[in-house]
Amino acid sequence: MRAVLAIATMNLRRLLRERSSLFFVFIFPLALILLIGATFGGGVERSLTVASGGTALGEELTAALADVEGVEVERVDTAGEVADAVALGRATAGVVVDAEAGQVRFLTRPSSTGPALRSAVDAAVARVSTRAAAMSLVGPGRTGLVDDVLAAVPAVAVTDARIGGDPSGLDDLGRFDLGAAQQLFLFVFVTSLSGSAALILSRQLGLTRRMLAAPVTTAQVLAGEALGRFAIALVQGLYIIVGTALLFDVAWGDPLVIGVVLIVFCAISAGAAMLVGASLRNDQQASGIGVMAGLGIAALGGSMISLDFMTIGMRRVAHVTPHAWALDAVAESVRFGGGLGDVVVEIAVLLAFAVVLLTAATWALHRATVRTAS
Amino acid sequence: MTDVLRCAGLRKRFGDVQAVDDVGFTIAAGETYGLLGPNGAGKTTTISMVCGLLEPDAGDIAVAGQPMSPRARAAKAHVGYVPQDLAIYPDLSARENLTFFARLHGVPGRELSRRVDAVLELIGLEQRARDRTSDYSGGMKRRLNIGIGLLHEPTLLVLDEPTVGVDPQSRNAILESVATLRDEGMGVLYTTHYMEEAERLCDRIGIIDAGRLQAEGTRRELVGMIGEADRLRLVASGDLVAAAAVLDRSSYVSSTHVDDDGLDVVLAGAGQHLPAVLAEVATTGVSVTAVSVIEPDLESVFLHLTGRGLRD
Repeated sequence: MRAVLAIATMNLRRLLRERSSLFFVFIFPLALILLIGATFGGGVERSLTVASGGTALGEELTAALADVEGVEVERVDTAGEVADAVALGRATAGVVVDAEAGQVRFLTRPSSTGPALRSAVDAAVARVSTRAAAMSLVGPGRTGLVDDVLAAVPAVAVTDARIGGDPSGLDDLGRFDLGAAQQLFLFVFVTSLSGSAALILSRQLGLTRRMLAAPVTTAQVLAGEALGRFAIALVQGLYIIVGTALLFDVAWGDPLVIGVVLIVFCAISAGAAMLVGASLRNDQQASGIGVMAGLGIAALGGSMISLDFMTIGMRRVAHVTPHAWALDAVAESVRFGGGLGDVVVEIAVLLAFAVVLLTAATWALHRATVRTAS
Repeated sequence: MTDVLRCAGLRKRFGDVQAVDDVGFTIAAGETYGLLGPNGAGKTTTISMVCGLLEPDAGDIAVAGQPMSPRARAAKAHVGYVPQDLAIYPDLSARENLTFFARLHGVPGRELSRRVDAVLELIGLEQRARDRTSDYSGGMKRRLNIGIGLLHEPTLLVLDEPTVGVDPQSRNAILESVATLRDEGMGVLYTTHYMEEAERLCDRIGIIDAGRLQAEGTRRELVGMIGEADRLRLVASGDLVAAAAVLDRSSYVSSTHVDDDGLDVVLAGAGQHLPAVLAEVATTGVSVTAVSVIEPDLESVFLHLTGRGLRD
């Protein structure tokens, strides 16, 4: 076991030693998740451009809207400026107060956040207009009384309740959640495959032969290399999970689910890396093919374009890759609160991938290693 | 003296090629045994079997009394293997390389640092121990390559052509290190195709060609095998093969060997027969530009035994 651990640790040390690895393993994934989240992520703070018309009522309504949680209010002077801001996408929606006409106009583009904002505006208008009506009844000297009465009346909260809409649960995701899960499996797989070059280099440099001359068996060398690949994948995966949870508040669902999925996916990645490392004879070829194949399989499996946006046919095709099954399991846990019992099928399929790949890889690497020894 | 290596009847075939055929020899503690032969003679296959990297088709190997095979961990623990290639991790430092291989050899934790430090001192890399080996010179890498083989204080050190591609200064340092280790009681198996190295370093030499051990003994014993024969070196141009064929028919010529620059003739009484040799060569139209008579050496022995040069 000591020899196995020595080989695995050495593999990990070599990964951490490489400067380019430090960028691609530690900086690039988080930068990409940040970029994707910032560009496409949901959960964006909603912005409202308001033209109050300069009246007291308008100002009161603007102040009420600014108090709504998750809404950022920008004040402008004219209705035209509000329309421009909404039309050009600078604001999620706009509000124009026309006190003389007794109108509050709500401007929005077709979007998923529009209706929710409309509810917030309606609530604020109702509260402000109720106060104004009460003030007109009791007279200007009784402001305190009106405010006390209104404070005593509980605010009615309007919440969205979707029936039959958005079964994907996408709208409930944080800005970085979707991208983080996709990039997790992409990077774990690609990092492992690019590491397959190290296996070939070990054979080319005679290091495998030298290891086999030590008092170890071929099985121990193979186990060490496999554990090394697994450790590299696990370090990459844990780094993304912990990093995104801390930096971007990404929700990873049930820790047990993501833990089991990650471990099995790391075993799959280790198997794939060993298979590439055993099958190819040139380390540069392995780096190139490994990364290209890793990216291609990840793209097919939904790590670049979400499975949610794929056609039914493409989703079926995507499930020839382990990525799609892993993403399904994480989605079940993160979006719908599923536990280990809810992702049994996904984990079983991932385990089957792992067993097949590790078996094939061990056989191929054993052959390559024995050939090297001779 | 105790034998640190005993091998007998070793055979190994790769497809149609009989790489090693009935090879056997012993090495005692404190003895350097040279396996001398040209490229492809079977040297590396033989040491691969001795180190437990290859399973022989037939034959027995015992290192320090332990039977050797790819699964024989007890026997492997006695062997320090120094491959011909620079088998070191370029992205790790010398210390990290040594520490890794020490762990593979099961050197215990408390002992590990001491052994690593001792080897670094022995190979003169203490000052560069923390630098990546990719930044080392060729000689430094070669020294580290040897140092890894010494980490676990082996009973038998196996060096596979350790001076190939090495500058004369580093080569000299390597040969001196090996001699020191031998003097300290380590058994050394040294493969080379450089006759001078074998003559300088080895207590006994096995001449191997086409997978077979052609002869074995001390330098004196091997040279004695060809009696009083001298080697006549003719630097010549023309149909050298025809000239060699004519000489081979002469009663006083033991063997001939043609290379790019001329031909070697092994014969008794070179001085006495020189005029006749030149006359015979002249009949084939070959033009001889220089002649030298060489005292019997291992090259002559190899030529005598195989009809080929060591560098063929």
